Amino acid sequence: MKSGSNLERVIASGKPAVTAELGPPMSADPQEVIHKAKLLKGYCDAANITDCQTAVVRISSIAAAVLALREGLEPVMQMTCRDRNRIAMQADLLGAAALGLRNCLCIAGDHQSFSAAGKLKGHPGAKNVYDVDSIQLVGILKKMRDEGLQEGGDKLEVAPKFFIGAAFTPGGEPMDYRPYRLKKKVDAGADFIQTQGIYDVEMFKSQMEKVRNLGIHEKTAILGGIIVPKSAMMLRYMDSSVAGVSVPKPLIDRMMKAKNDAGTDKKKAKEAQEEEGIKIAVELIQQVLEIPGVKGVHVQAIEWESAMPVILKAAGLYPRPTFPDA
Amino acid sequence: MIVGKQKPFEEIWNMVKDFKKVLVYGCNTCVAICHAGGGKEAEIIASMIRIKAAEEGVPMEVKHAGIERHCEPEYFEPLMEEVKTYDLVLSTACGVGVNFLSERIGNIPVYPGINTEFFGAVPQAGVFTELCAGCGNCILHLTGGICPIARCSKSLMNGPCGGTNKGKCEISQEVDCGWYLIVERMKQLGTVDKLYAIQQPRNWSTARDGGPRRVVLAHIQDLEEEEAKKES
Amino acid sequence: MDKLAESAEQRSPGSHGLAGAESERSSIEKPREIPQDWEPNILAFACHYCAFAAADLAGVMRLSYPPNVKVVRLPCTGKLDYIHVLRAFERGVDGVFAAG
Repeated sequence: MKSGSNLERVIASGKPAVTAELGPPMSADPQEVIHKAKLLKGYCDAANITDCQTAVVRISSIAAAVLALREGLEPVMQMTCRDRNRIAMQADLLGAAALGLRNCLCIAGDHQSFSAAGKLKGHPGAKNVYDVDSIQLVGILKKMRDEGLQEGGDKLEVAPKFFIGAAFTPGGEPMDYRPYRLKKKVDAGADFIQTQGIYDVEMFKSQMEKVRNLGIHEKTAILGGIIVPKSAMMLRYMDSSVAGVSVPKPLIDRMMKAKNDAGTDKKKAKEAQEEEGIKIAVELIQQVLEIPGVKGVHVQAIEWESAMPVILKAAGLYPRPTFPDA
Repeated sequence: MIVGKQKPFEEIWNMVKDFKKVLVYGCNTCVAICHAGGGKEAEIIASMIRIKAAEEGVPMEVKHAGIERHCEPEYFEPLMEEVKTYDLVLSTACGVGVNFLSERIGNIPVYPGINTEFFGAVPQAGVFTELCAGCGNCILHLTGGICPIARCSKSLMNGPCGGTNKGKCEISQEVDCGWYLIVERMKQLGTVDKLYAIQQPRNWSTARDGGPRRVVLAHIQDLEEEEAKKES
Repeated sequence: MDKLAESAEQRSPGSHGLAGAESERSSIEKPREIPQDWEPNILAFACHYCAFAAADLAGVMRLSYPPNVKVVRLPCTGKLDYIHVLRAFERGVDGVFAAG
């Protein structure tokens, strides 16, 4: 065991792994994290705790991860390259390990301009760091864990034991280069990979074939990303505006039909779409898990954690494996 | 070249309004090419200041001048005596010129008339694009001649992030994804396999992060010293 | 990934990148009231080959034009530069007319 984390154990057991996502609030109140952790507990093997997603200031990933851990939910702390240089990163990683965190996902992070793209003021005038990129961060974590060395070469008396994660956008351009970039992440030391949300299963299948040809799937655990759709509007928005995500028209049509069949009552239309969204998510999970080389799913029910139990049960992924000695 | 952009006139006016004798001092190299701070633009700014001063009833003498370069003493020293007769020099050179003149002018303030933007090229008339970040450790041979530090919004070193959208960067549909360009260019050159190797964390000490930088050419310095000895 | 977490919820469609249009430029001149009997002082920059020739022809035909318009002949209006216009304003001209 590299880290001994629950996620690592599930993956090692050969059973399909399930990770979820927990977004910390724009508030110093721990209750929201605790509440979400309670909802997710038992319905995933670990939950990603986002690191100021969309560059919006929130409870830090490490702090929220510790709150989740106290509730018995295993967290995957996230670390973006946007906000810290390698000194702060390593200091935070040592601190996180000291606080009991065992999983870390290394990502570039959204550009600070995202913070003001929606309704919020954000901090679009912030200076970004990008001292290292996500692949280099993976390498730093591996060097710390396996060699007991800092990036600069100084020794660590006790090495932080992290199960190292990275992201993969199979539908991102240039698509033919993406599998090679994934290989770099895995060569750098990524133990698990969580993908961007997949709606276009055929596209993911063909990317996975290239991934298998490179032998990457044997060196890392690839978890397919599932974003639970809530409405036809959300699907359309993701198709048109979210980088690396394309939604096949039949899926959008299905959601539209659910909405239209519900009639003019807005509440009913919402419920009908949510119900259809859950069905779609379950189907996507099953299709993704059938693809050779996929070791699990990363299910994101954004601000809709209560949907997780229904989805997992319907997908036959409940109960989650437990380990007596853990 | 160095690309500059004129400051809003209101900002310029607020800088100069309390001075009685102002020289708007243009630089006829880089910032003249980008129509920001050459002798011609200095003349226009001087005229606008005079009009504004007359409007506001502020007595002010405003002149303009332009020299070839503000970043080498040879160019501005012949005019130095005259320049020193002003209360304020509004330099429309890049920030280098403002600093350099300021160090040599004595008790007279030198204010910036433009915002210095970046090192850029001119893909078409009136368009200037940033292509190099001056990081002090060039790797363009590894990236198809396209700089990831200057042209990727996140200065990533190992390929495109998940934000590439139809070849554009996640920050704006107006901005090309630098890494998309790199990969496509490397494919064209048949060298995309170079992008399969991991680039290790960079040593940023060669960039601005290492503190203000200096390049010293010892052999030229020696020659200068020899010349000085001969003369004395 | 986390990029999505907010995007679907927060961002309005089509809103991308750095917001904020460039601030509008304010005029150097202050707006003021125009006296009733006021006549603007106009300077015309005219191309030698067309507009100026036309003005010349008007003269030959003994047609008159208002005395508050002064004509400056240019070899071509392409010669007209910003600074010529600004200098005219500095010297008290109220409006500039370029014809070519």
